[in-house]
Order: sequence, then structure tokens, then C-alpha cells
Amino acid sequence: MEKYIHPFIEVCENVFRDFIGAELTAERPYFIDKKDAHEWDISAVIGLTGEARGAVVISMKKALALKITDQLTETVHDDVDDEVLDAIGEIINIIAGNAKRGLEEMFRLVISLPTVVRGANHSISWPNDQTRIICIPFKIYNEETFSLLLAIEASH
Amino acid sequence: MQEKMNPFLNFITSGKYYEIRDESNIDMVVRYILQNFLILLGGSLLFGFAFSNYKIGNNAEAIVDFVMGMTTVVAFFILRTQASFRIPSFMTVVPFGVLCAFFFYGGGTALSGIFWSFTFPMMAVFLLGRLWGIILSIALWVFMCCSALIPNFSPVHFELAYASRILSVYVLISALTLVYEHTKITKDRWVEVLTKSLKEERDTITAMKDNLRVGLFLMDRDFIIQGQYSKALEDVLVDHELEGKSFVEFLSSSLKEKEIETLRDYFDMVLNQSYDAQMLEDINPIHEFRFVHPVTREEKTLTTLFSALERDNGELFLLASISDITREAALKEQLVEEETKRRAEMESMFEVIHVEPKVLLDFIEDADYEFNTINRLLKDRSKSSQEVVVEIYQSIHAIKSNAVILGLQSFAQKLHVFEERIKLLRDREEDVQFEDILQITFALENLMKTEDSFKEIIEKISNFGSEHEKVGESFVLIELLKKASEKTALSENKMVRFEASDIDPLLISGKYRRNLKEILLQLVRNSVVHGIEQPDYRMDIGKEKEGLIRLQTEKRGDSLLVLLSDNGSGIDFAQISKNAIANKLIPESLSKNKKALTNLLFSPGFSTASKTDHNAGRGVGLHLVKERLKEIGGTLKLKSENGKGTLFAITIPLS
Repeated sequence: MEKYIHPFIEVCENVFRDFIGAELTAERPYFIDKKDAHEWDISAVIGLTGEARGAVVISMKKALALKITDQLTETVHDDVDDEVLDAIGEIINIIAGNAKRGLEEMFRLVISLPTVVRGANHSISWPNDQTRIICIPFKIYNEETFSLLLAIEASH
Repeated sequence: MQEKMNPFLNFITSGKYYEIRDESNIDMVVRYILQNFLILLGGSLLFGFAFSNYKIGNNAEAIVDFVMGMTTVVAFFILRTQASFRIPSFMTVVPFGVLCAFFFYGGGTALSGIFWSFTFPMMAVFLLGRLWGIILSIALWVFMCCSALIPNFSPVHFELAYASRILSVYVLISALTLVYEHTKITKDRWVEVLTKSLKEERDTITAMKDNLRVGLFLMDRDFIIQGQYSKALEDVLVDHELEGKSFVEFLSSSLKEKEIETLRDYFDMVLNQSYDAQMLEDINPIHEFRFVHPVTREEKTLTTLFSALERDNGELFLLASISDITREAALKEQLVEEETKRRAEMESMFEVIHVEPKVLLDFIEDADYEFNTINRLLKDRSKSSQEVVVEIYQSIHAIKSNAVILGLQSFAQKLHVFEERIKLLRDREEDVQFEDILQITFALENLMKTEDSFKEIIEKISNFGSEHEKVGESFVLIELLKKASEKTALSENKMVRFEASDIDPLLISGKYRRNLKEILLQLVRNSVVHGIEQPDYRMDIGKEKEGLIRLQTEKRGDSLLVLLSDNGSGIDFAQISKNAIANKLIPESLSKNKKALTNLLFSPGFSTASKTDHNAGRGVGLHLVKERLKEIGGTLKLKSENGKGTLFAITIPLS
């Protein structure tokens, strides 16, 4: 699974640097249980299929989502509106698009369009039964964090 | 490129020399030359006669001569076109025939005019072919007969003997011409058939050579690649214009100098031609080898075959075939890899089904607990990665110890490899980086997957029904400790018996269960490795061959007392002291202080074993005991008597 995950981490850092001008610091990764409801307010999901199957999710708190959207659109948002959802969806879209370019050279993969989920304590229904979900927390703006969640497995 | 024309050649061959360059058609060119020659000679003669006839006022004849002369001039031009050769041929042969007839008729000086006629059959047959040639020859002959035999037909008188000889020679020349032409045509046909079949054969061979996926080529005695190699050779060797290159030098980056030397020797053997082909194939040093292109460094797996080829002139060549088997080699490798993996999985499954399901479940539960602990550590932001790594090490070690006891060798091996990795990180000078932890996470996921497969097996086994003996918790613990002692003894070449009196249920239930189990496992192993002596030695000093380890529990007021004793050699404080001083863990002033040395025993990283294996030497054992004991608020007392044995007394408060 590592060969699929590495490109995502790399691309994630690059996209945040190039599009939002924020340096990310990757923190210690850990596993999360799919039953866990997580403490995020907004998540953007893309699915992978082909040589490997799974999903990649970016989850964050509302405050960070607003801050990122403000940076991207150069306007001020007080609450999660459509523009915020679009912005966060767009970020994962760019990440997926870039990761896809790297991955498709090596593996046959199809990457779905992003879906954005919001709501306090929402949970995500993960596609794979067996695969463990690896969570990579990224520190951004020195104090806030968001998570890159990955569950990818080579299909047989 | 346009060739510069020779005007004379152009003139004499009607330009055909430049159109028909095929050697097989040189014959046709010769006929053109003959034709032109005839036109030149006959035409000028005819115009000459026309002129002299006109001068003497013989106008009718002059006109006939002129017309015929003109005909040959027209023929000259037609010859230069693409028109059939036969048309101008008629236009020259017929006037020439008439000329011959005229000369014969007139006789000329001393009858010399008749000689012209002898050339006619040859001219006619060569230029018009056998049929028309012979018809016209016969026509001339008939005319000659009339002139020579019928009195007063011509102005010249032929004597009969003379006439008959002339006519016979003419017939003979005609016959010989016919025979010659026929022989030539038959031969031409035969050559054509031969050429055709040769060409077909050559085309087939070329097609085969070009379409073959195998690189085929010849090398001379100096291993220089010859020109006629198959197209595939360029694909196989990923290079072009190989002619004239040295094959051996081409392999310079694929083979070591010594291997090239061997290859040269091998080629000499092949060229020697006195060895058995099968034997040569078997000893081919590059029968299958990794090819590295000398310039692009592209890599391929190639297979080769060599044999000697001797030309008719005695020249010797090496015939080589070389093909690309990179894909096949990769597939084979993958197959072997998968086979190994499958076998490992089978082995691990065998190991798993040999474990009592209840004991295995207990193991899985413990492993889950440790994995969860690890994940909690990973998540815990208050701890540095350095600290986390140290604690992961302990958790993994705990799982590994249990796996070893249960005989889950393949899983234990995986855990061992993981442990070694963690150890490298733990003992490293630099900080643990994100990338390190990420790699650890992936490796952990792999370990958890193996554990998942155990769960699957257990599930399948328990689906068989409940025939399995229901075993109690106490059985599981005693069984585990017993197994641990046996396993350790086996690998240490010792003999040990584990005994347990009735155990207080408090020991195996409640919140202390896991910690106590871990503590006891460590202590039992410690006893076997460090306490119990080798059987022979035991016999020598009058002890029972088999060492004894005993477990007892006792309830004392509001605490539980657990006693673990062995009848081994006791703790070797001298050895500990020596190690401690050697590793500068203790000042020399304290080297005789038993309390300080005992404390050292329980400190992290201390080990008396010189090598590390599954059982001892990682410096985890007693420190882990101390840690686990601390967690449940227990205390440990140690009593050791040199040569008699060791007693560990653990007290746990039951609050």
C-alpha cells in the first residue's frame, strides 16, 4: 500500500505550498478504525479503482476550512457555504489530479470525482473491509491540523 | 544518379545498354548491337547501290534500293523506341535478304556475291527467332536454287557441282544456326527456372531472417559481427549498424573481465568443432545472462546459442542466435516469489492450527492489545517519536515472545525483523523522522494483516463446531508458561520441567491478568536461559538432569503473593559485575554491591547474553518485568542462592 500512499503525501504538501502558500508539516501517522466517528466538520473524498482500490479523504475543522477558502478566493467567509465546499472539494481534486498523474504512469488507476461531506462528527463509510485506514495529520499555519486519510489496497 | 552515357555504346545498342542493366539480358543487348550493325552495313550498301544505279540511269532499281535503305533507317529509329524488337527486325532482315538475293542473282566478281547469303540464316534466326528466321532463310534458299539451277534464270552461269555445294553449305549453316539457337533457348529457360527457384528460396530465407524474433548472426574468428544478421538482432541488442563491431566488446559492460576471458575460450571450443553440441550448449557461459548496453545502460535478460559454421573455402564462422527473455525471466522470478510467499503462508497456517484455539485466541487478544497500545502511542502528541519508538519496541517484543512460545515461528520471524528495524531507529543518533515512522506504520499494517489471517483461521476452526475441549483460563496460563519453558529449554539445549500448584483465580482474571502473564513469561524464560544449567553439568554436580521451575500463589491479607522458583545456578553476580564494568554501567566502587547489581539487572538495555536471539539478549526482559509490575503497583523480591536456585516473589495489592 505504501507505493500508492507516498505520492499522495508528496502531492498534498506541494499543492498546499503552491496554491495556498502554506507549508505543511507531516506528523506521526496512525491507524484509525472505520467505526470511529471523527472530530472533523468537513471532509472531501475521492475513490480509487483499478490496480488498487480504496479511498483518499481530507478532513478538517470548520475554522480551517474557512481560512483555506479565504486564502484561495481572497474573500472572507463566516460559515460553511457552497463556496467553501467547492474550495475544499477543489483542493482534493487538485491533489488527486496531481497524484493521479504520478500514479497512472506506474499503475493502472482510475480516480473518481471528489465528494464533499460536512457536518459535525460525520463518519465516512469506507469501501474496503480489510484495509486499515492510515491517518496522516498535517500541521498547517503552525497551530491547526487537518488529516489525510488513506485506505488503499492492491486489488487481486 | 544519372550515369554519363557513352555515345558510341548508346548508338550501337539503341540506348538499351542503359535500360536493360540486368546481366541476364546481355544477350538481348548483343542482338541490338547486331541489328544496328546490320543497319549500318546494309543501309549504307543499299544507299550506295541506289546511288550507282541512279548514275547509270537504272532508275527503277535505284528507287527499290533507296526505299529499302530508307526502311532500314526507319528501323534504326524504331529500335530506339519501346516497340517490339521484331518489327524493326523485319525491316532490316527483309531488305538484307533482298540484298543477299540480289548479290546472288548478280554473282559479282568471281561469284564472290554469293558469300553474303551465308550470313543470312544466322541474321534471320538471331533477329527474328527460329520460325520466321527459317521461313525467310528457306525463301532465300528457294530463290538461290532458282538462280543456280534454272538455266537462264540469272545472268550468271553456275556449274551444277558448284551450285549444289553452295546450296548444301547454306542448308548446313541454317541447320547449325537452328541447333545453336535452340540449345541457347533451352539453356535460357533452364537458367530462368533455376533463377526463379533460387530467388524464391532467397526470399523465404530473407523473410524468415527479417521476421524472426531471434537475433541471428555470424562472427568471424575475431568475434566481429558479419553483415548478414537478422533484423531482430538490432532489437535484441538495442543498437544498430552492428556489422563490423566486436561481439565480445559489445558485452564488455555486461560481463566481468574474467567472464569475457571464459567466453573467448568457449568460442574457441565451439570453433574447434570436435566437441559434442549438447555439451557445448550446457557449458555456454552466457546461456542466460543479464545484458547491459555499453552506452545506454539498458538492461535485459538474454539467452544465446552458438555453433560453428564452415564455409566451402574452409573459412570458419561462429553462428550465434540470441533472444530476449526479459519478460520470461521476470515472470519466472515473480512465480518463484509467489511460490515462496505461498509456502510461507502455508507454513504459518500450519503453525497456527497447531495451537490450541483457546490459547491462540488469548494470544490474539494480547496482540490486539499491544497493537492498540502502539496506535495510541502513535496518536499521542505529547510524546516524542523517539519515546514512541522505545515503547513500540517493548510492545512488539511482548507479542514476539508470545509468538515464539506458541511456536508461531513465521510470525515471530516477521516481528523479529520489525523489532530489528525499530532497534536501529531507537539506537540511532539522529531524530526519528516522519518518513521513518511512516515506514514503521506500513510495516505495522503488514504485521496486523498477518494477525488478521490468524483471526480468519480461528474463525474457520471454531466454525467446525465445539468439539474442542473447553479449557479454562488457568489452563491457558499454565499451558502457556509450560510451553514457554519447553520452547526456551529446547533452543538452549536444556531440560526443564514446569510445575504449577493450584493457582488463585485472581491471578488469571481481573485487571492484572495481562501484566502478570507477561511478567511470568519473562521470568520463566529468564530462569531457563540464565538459571537452569546444561543437563550434563547438572549431572556432574549431583543435580537432577531436568531443571525444575515452580509456580505457586498465595493470598496474604489484601495482597496476592506469586512465587516463581527454579533450582538452577542462581544469579551470577560476578558475571553481571564484569559486564557492567565492561560497559561502564556502574562505577567500580559498586561492583560488589548486590543491590546495585540487582537494580542494574532490571534496567533497560542490560543483558548478560552476548548474542541476541528470540530468547534473550535484547535487554528487554527484566526491565519489562519492572515496568509491567510498576503499572499494577506490585513489588518484586529476589532471592538467589549460588548453585541452588533463584526465587522471585511478587506481591500485588488487591485493592
